Amino acid sequence: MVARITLPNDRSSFFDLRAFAEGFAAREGLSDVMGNRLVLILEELFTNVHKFGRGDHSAKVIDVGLERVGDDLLVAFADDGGAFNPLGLPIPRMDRNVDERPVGGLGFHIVRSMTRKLRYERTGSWNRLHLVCAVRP
Amino acid sequence: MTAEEARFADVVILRVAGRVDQETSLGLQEALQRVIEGIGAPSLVGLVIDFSRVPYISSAGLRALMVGAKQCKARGGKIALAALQPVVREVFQISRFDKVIATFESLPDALGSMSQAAVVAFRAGPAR
Repeated sequence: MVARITLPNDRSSFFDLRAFAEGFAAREGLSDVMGNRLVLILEELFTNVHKFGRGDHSAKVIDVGLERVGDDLLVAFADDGGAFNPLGLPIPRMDRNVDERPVGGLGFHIVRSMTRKLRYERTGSWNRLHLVCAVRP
Repeated sequence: MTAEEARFADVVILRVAGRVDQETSLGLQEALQRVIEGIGAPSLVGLVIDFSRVPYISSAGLRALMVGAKQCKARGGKIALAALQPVVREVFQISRFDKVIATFESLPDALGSMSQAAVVAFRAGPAR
């Protein structure tokens, strides 16, 4: 069964998004660890839209769908901001020590690392990310 | 998220509890800064962050730790993390944060990497 939530792009939506993911994880019988992975992916995607914006056309709405299909977790994450494909973000350099590493830039790398498949599309006025994560213990 | 300090000889343990996310990471950064400001005096050599009660960290939390690690190094101090939980450990591996902050299985291991006096004080009982 698909669970879906549509939220305004404002700071307080983070709490609603987290509660939505935790509720889904509980209903699907996911482990606490897997539930935390799901919340983490959604937090990083939300932050990417909310804090870093979409150029001169910020998103007003975020729409999230979750579905479990066997051992896969399908995540559909959409925003109505300006066109932005995060798959084009560079992979951060992580082989450097504390002096040489920048302070940020890890959010989408975490998402990429925790998903098995990742696809972006621009449909109408929406950025749509489709993620497949393996359900693990 | 809460963060409590306890001093053992020449090392401070910062015991963090709860989720470290975009809403709480600033609190962690401020708690780290309070301890780090005392580093550099001869009687305080380092900071061990106890993560045994932290089930979750996002990139916002990593940012706070990175800032703390840079500040600590600038003051000539040592910094380490102990007892990472599964998702936190996974995020650290993904982000290669072992290159940023040394991590240890237990508090005594982390303390021992900095100061034997701190290990002795820790084993002796509650912080003084």
